[in-house]
Amino acid sequence: MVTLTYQYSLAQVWLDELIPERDPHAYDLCGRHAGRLTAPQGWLVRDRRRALQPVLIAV
Amino acid sequence: MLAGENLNSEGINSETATIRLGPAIGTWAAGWVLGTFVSVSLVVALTNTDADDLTIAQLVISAVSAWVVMLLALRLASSRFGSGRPTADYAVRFQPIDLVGVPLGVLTQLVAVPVLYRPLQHWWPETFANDELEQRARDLVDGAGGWSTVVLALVVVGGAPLVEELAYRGLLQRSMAGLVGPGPALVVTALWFALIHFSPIEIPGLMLAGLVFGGCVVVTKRIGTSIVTHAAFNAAGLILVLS
Repeated sequence: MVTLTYQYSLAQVWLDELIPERDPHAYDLCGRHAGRLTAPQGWLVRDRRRALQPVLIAV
Repeated sequence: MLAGENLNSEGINSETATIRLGPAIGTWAAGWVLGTFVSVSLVVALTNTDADDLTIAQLVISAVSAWVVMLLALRLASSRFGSGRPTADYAVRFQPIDLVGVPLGVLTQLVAVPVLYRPLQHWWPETFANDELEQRARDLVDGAGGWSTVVLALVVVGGAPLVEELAYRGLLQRSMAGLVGPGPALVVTALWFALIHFSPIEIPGLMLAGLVFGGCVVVTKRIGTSIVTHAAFNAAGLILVLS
């Protein structure tokens, strides 16, 4: 299960692991629908599920 | 000149900095405290918000203002306590061999950091989960898209490695090496570098990165390789989190 959130001003969609809390601005999807999701032209889809390895940025 | 002293063509000891440890720590502290104050003040004043959740524009304002203050502090320290030539005082020299820093930085990010965290993730799986470790990098790129991705790359891969290597390796590590030797200076500076990022779960990884960057300085006696390595480390992290 996946939780989808988005922000118009950034033209971005985020897919995260299912968030247990209820949030009217978040939408829960099954894995199959999340995998087939496409965003409007000019929008970015960021899949933030299951990071495969630690990532550090020294800034 | 002392017997055995290693002077370069500019008459500067290439093993250690010309700036002593006390002024070096004072310079870093002044640059860091003032830089943080200026950067937070500017972000709040210009964007009318707090600095907890930075957009790319806020990140640029914050980073560049802090860098300017740190660079001014380094310039002033060079004039007052050093030779007056910052490139000599902070060992800023590049050679083609510095490109070895590209694979070194990438391997540190892709291999050394995951290997370091594997036992920690085994013992404390929740605390050191990859998602948690990626969070700060993810926060950086969440607002990026189009031109702002280019700006973010310039900040993360260009400016940050340059200024941080000048301050930590060029100033602190080399000044400390003059007092306690290159080994202890390398370890203390790497720990200092890790702690100052104020992210407890990142401390082991940033300490390791600091040891790699600082090791470059110990080997080459200049910060060219460490800047390239740091840039490659950040670039690999940015690509991973954007992909």
